[in-house]
Amino acid sequence: MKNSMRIFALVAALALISSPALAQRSRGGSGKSKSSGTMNVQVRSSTVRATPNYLGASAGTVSYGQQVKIVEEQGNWYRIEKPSGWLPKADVTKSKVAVDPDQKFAGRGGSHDEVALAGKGFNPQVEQKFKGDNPNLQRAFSDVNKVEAMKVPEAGIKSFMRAGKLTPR
Amino acid sequence: MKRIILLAAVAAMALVPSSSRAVDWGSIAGSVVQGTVQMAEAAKEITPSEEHYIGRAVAAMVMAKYPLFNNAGLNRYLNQVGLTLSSVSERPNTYGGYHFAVLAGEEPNAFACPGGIILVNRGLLRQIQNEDQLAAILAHEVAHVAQRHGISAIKKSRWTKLGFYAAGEVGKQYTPSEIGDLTGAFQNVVTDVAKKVIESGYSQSDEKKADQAALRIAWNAGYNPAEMLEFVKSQEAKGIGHGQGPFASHPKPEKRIKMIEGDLGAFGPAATEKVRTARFKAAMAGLR
Repeated sequence: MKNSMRIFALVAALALISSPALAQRSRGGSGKSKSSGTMNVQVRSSTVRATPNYLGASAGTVSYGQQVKIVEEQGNWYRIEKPSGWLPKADVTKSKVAVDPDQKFAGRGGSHDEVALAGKGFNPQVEQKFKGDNPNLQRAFSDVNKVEAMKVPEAGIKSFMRAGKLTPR
Repeated sequence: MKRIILLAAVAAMALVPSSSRAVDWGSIAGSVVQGTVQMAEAAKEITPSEEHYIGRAVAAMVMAKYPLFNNAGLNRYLNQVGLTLSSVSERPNTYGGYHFAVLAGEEPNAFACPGGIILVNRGLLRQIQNEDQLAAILAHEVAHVAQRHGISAIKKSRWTKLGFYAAGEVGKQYTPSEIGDLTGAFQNVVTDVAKKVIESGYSQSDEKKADQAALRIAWNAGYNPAEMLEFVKSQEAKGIGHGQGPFASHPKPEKRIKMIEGDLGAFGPAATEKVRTARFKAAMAGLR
């Protein structure tokens, strides 16, 4: 009896813990619905689109840690205010994010909490220590930097698609 | 996080039948709280920025084995095809974006590192006949990234330490010893993921999901998804994918062919445009 009650209580507790995560992960479907609330950008940068389409016209950009107001959702996209347009759902989170894993905004102010949060988890500081502990990976990390430096502008992708008769379906 | 744990524990208490509340309640509550703390730690999600740094380290481990193939034109072409595909995937952006590169490895293999670095051995490029087949392969790797299959390799035993740092005191800076501790956790996590990406490969279930997503991504971009079938058939004809080798973790070719044939039924007819095959051949001239 005692064990069964423990299991029941634990299951109830787990259900409550997991439900917000499930709600946040629910990104499928193509229905359009009203939505509200603020969320935080969790990617280095993201282009806000005039339409819910990754190759749609740019309506501005948002950066890591920036708060955005959600006004509507459609499929894998949120419509936001300021700048007005669409963002991929995976680019934002309800969670408080570390403001600056790249320390890009260091010295630009920000609350004490934000600065502290920037130190949490795996970040450039941890990578630096990891590289020091693994000197055999120095050359390889330099190759990784070269790979990340390879960029193709969006206009280049669009012209590449046109030249290859690629029409997104 | 602490508030969620408290709420869960309180709710769990409310759900226990009232007649039972006199029975060793302290022990039950203690057990619930302990269990919820452990599960809350396990539920700590790797953030996109953490995924990025894990992916960079995994990519470094791949590139310690297979160095970058320094041909700017070929790498630019691979990025053009890859970014076309990622832009129509279920996860068009990541913390650091998608990046594609050719490695100087002759083993026919490709590596999807968490966060979006996708590396392709030149030995695999030599097996491919046209751009639409290349698109099918890159779309498969994009799907592994989008669905975070690499991150799922992190052993559950690592979560306790990760949860400790995720739930750390706000306003506190890490000491050198804590940074050392965190780096130790990072090393373990990177080793878990690298083992899956480089050695053991993804589960057959993840491979199947990646194949299904790849057909959809290739189709959405305007490619002919049936070229994935042609590529797998050509590999089977060469005896690649049976037993040992880089595709050993994929479903066996005959089974994979049947699955792809079934999944292709969801799409309409599509053409493998000659203009794409011509530019593929021009780019692959850089392999010589």
